[in-house]
Amino acid sequence: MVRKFSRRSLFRGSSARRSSAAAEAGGSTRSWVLDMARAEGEPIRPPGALPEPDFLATCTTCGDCVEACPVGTLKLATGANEVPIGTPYFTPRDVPCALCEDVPCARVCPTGSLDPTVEIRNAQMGLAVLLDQQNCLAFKGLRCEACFRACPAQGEAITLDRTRAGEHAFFLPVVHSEACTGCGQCEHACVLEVQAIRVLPRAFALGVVDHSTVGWEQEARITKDFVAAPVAPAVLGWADDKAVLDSMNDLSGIEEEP
Amino acid sequence: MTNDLTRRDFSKLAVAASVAGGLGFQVPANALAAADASEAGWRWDKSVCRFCGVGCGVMVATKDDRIVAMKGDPESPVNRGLTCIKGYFNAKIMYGADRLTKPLLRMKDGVPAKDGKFTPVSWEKAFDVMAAKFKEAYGEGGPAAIGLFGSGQYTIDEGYAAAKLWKAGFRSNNIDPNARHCMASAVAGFIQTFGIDEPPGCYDDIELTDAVVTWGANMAECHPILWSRVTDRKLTHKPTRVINLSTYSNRCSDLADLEIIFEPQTDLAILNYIGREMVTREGAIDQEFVDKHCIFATGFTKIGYGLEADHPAEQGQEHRGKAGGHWSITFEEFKKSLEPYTAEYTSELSGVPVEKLEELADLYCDRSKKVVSFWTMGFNQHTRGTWVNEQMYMVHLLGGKMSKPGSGAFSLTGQPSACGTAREVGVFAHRLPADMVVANGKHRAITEKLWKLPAGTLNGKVGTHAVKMMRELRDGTIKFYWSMVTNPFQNYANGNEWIKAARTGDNFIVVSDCYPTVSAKVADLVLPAAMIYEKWGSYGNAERRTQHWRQQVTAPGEATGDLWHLMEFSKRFTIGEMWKAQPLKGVEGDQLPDVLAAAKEMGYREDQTLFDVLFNHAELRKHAWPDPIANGHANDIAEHYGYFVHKALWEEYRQFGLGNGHDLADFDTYHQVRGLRWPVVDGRETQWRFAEGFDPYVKPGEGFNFYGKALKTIPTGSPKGEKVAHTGKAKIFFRPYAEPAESPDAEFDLWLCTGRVLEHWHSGSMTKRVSELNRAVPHAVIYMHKADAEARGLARNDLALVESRRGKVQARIETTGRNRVPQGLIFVPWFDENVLINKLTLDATCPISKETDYKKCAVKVSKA
Amino acid sequence: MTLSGVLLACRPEFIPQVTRSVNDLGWAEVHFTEDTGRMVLTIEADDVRQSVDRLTHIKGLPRVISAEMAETRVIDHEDQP
Repeated sequence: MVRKFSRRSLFRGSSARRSSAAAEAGGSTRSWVLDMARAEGEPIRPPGALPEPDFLATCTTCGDCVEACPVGTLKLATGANEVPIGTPYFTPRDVPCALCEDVPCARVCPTGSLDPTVEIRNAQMGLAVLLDQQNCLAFKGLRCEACFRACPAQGEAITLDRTRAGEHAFFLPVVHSEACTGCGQCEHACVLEVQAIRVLPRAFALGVVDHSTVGWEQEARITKDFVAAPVAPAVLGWADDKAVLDSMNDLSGIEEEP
Repeated sequence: MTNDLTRRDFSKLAVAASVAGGLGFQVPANALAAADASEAGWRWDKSVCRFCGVGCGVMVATKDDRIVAMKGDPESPVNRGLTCIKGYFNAKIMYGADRLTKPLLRMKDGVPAKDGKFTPVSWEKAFDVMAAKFKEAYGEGGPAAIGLFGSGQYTIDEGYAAAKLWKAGFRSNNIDPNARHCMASAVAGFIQTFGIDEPPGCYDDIELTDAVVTWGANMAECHPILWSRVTDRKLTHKPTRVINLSTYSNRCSDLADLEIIFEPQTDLAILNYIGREMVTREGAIDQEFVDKHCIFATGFTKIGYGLEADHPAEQGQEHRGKAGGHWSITFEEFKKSLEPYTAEYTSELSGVPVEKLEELADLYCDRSKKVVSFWTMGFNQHTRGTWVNEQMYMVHLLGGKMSKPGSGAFSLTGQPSACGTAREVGVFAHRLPADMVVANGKHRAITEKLWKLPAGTLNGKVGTHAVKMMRELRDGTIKFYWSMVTNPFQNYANGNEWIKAARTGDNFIVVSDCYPTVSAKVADLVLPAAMIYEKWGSYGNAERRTQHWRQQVTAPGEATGDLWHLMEFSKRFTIGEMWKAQPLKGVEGDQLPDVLAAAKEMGYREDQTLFDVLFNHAELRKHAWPDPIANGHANDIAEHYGYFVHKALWEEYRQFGLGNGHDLADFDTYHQVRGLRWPVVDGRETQWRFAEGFDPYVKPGEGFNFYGKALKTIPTGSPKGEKVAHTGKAKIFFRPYAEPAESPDAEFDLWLCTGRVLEHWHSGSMTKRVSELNRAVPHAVIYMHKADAEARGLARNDLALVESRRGKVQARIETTGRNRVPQGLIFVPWFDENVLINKLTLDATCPISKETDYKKCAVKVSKA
Repeated sequence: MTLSGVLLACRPEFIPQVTRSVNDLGWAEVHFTEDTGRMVLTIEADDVRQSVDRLTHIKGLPRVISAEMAETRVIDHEDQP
């Protein structure tokens, strides 16, 4: 989806820690604007981040959370990609979130765009999705499961589905969305050159199950063209005697013309 | 951010995951969770598709006595969750607006009259009139004066009841199925080659083979799910080759590596060319296999075309009366007979370039390659259909490519239960259950014992086969004709004659049907029939898989299962009436013996009805209703008769097959599994028959054993030679090329080939009631080459007149689309009651199988 | 509206092309692809009639070997804002 950015949101803040947007962009100001205009998808935010529109409305790009992070996960967007300039995000493949129990990044946020009361195990930074099942070694039947072993919520957020296919036993990583925090340690651990499991924004990877998603209507659902009777079939429009009789008594096209 | 978009994306993912998960794709867990729809209150049950011989499994969901959802059964090994577009609409076929719900009788001035109008009557009245007309005909002409045209779409219990009523009750062999029009040549090919019916292989061959060859089989449209499996094989196993042989280019050609278009009828020559290559090329023959398990044979050649004796094509055909006769020959004679079929000769005759013929032969000659050859109507609906089936076996037997995983000649069955019902139950003029035949005294004795009949009840004279039945109706020999689960006045060749006979002859026509079809309209009495999910039933598909289902919903109005039609009708006759002596020309004393004295000794009384004796005896009634296997499902027929009719008939029927290679499992088992391929011995099904390690009837060390018993004792060297028994062997036949019955000439200058399209089933009686299918293909069109159309002043979509010597119809021209015909040939599908193309076709048949050749006759096309 | 799940087959070398053709249609989307050329896609339609028409259209796309309907669901949107 295309996001509209105000001029104010494009050029945020003045912290010395922020890289110069112009210097890092490797292009003209105009191209950043175009890049912004074409932006799609959402970045992976620090734990406790408000929903993205709210986050953008409140984040001042001060960079305190980045400083607070003990392992260097967080960084501020430079404009070199589609993340709004100066806002904090992380790339799990490079440095995943360490899931600090005391959530220093969220605690230090001055504006509340990161919720300071967030429990780290309940964080929903994103959702890991095993996207590339062609190349995932486990799906080929090889014993890998590096992502499973890397997961801090091993056995809850990722489990192994033991199954058989052909002559082999397969140990297939399965992500459980209710337990996954999106920390990205699985993505980081994936042994492939390009990882098969990725953290995606939850809104992208997940939907909402509600009763009307797969609907069942009173009418027979095979087609909406015919209406099933609310009572037993005998009373249906089947017994249109006259129409049936007229059709039965009409032999046109069947008997040969003299 | 819109929730709507998210939810829709989610819904899409859920559907995709449901499909993909069922098909073996790897799918993320959250997607799979989404696929569990909130389907509360639905009752899901397994069943099968109503349509073709593939026999896909479906899951049916019902609520409040209505079908609310259907899908392919992911647990079915046949289709693994897929259906084609016809299967997809299985539920909708039952809900057409003009469903027949009452018996209808032609009446005028208050009495039954052939020239009267259809009037609704009660079942009581319907059977009154029907029994009276039957007794009138039977009283005059005996068992020869009645005829029942049954169906490869009968459920097994229906076919079994029909055969029992007709043969045991009425002592008539004038009962023949519509499978005579589709599989008879295949049956004859099996019996002559192997001594027993039905394919040795199974669908698993597809996933194991190196090459698939389709001969006159448009699998892409007519066995769609098997074609999906072939496609899957080709895409997942790179070396797999696909070759399509046909008289016109069809959708199978899209997948094929090699397409061979040949002149109609020349398949006979092409197969002989391959045979010649095999006997000529070093090492092409599996010598050990041939020496140990095969013999060579040939037969009469001047066998005619199954036409009536006064037809020009029948003149000089001195072997007409003994068309099936054959004898063994030496390998040298066999090889010599193949001599003329060189590449040059075959290419000249068939129009196929030599390189293509050679490529085809290379495949069959390659001993290292597993090959499956599939065929359907192109081979069977053929004036030499039995021969061409035998020739296909010749090629496979020579190369040892038979009864092996991934390698075999596979005759594909068109109808859902031509195998399970018509063939296995023996609903034919010459057959009894389990491959037995009426002409064999021992077989009759076995049948009489199982059916608890006095000795001598059964009629040992082969009855009137389907094509002949219409001729006898026209000639007044048959005066009572009943068709069930089929549409004869649309599906018979040379239709005008039979329609006229039905409408104007001194006869009484009864049709059991579900919609106002052409046949129903032409009848005198119409009985409303329940459709597939409105009754318990079972079908046997093309790979010998028998599948059972429960009743899912109630039939509308007064419609009832065909089984009920038969059982109720049987109540109108006593054994006193039927088991006394009956006139029958051609048997000893020109009559069937009186067996009443013997009957009384068995404890029967003369006043007992056929119902009492055949369908209501203590042994059958032992099977009580309700029964836990029903799992809460209703059974209107069982309720009516007070016992579990379907189970009782099944358990009686399966006694025929036990121990002789036709073993079926017990009733309950079939409701617990997705069908089983017979012979089922000790709970295990059989994938490859005649092969050691797979077929329980083949002993260790035998390797192969073609244990079929029929026609194994044949003369040696010539028709009058010494008879020798070739137990356990298969026959490799030499059959020559023969001219077609009617070829294009100066006046009727085009070949007419008829067939099917994916969207419609057979005569369209069901699929045309589905508005989506009807809209997809509303009318039959004339597939014609653009140049041929232009030469006749016609363009695409023009209304044209197609004529043969026998009739004419109008339809629109189609020069593009799914079928690309060569010049000189047109193709017209037969599903459309508004384009009754069978008025034009010729009722020439294979003289051995008596199956009509619907693929070749001569027509002309002009502007309408 | 209806959502249908479809199994499509094409030769592996044409996967990108077919995927593009399908996704470009606007009412269909490829979800799962195997490197053998099998893919599962969904078709959206107003009603079953349209979904059948759309399936037929997909069958006719260049390089599509086969497309078979596996499942259709009716989606109830009556509680949309």
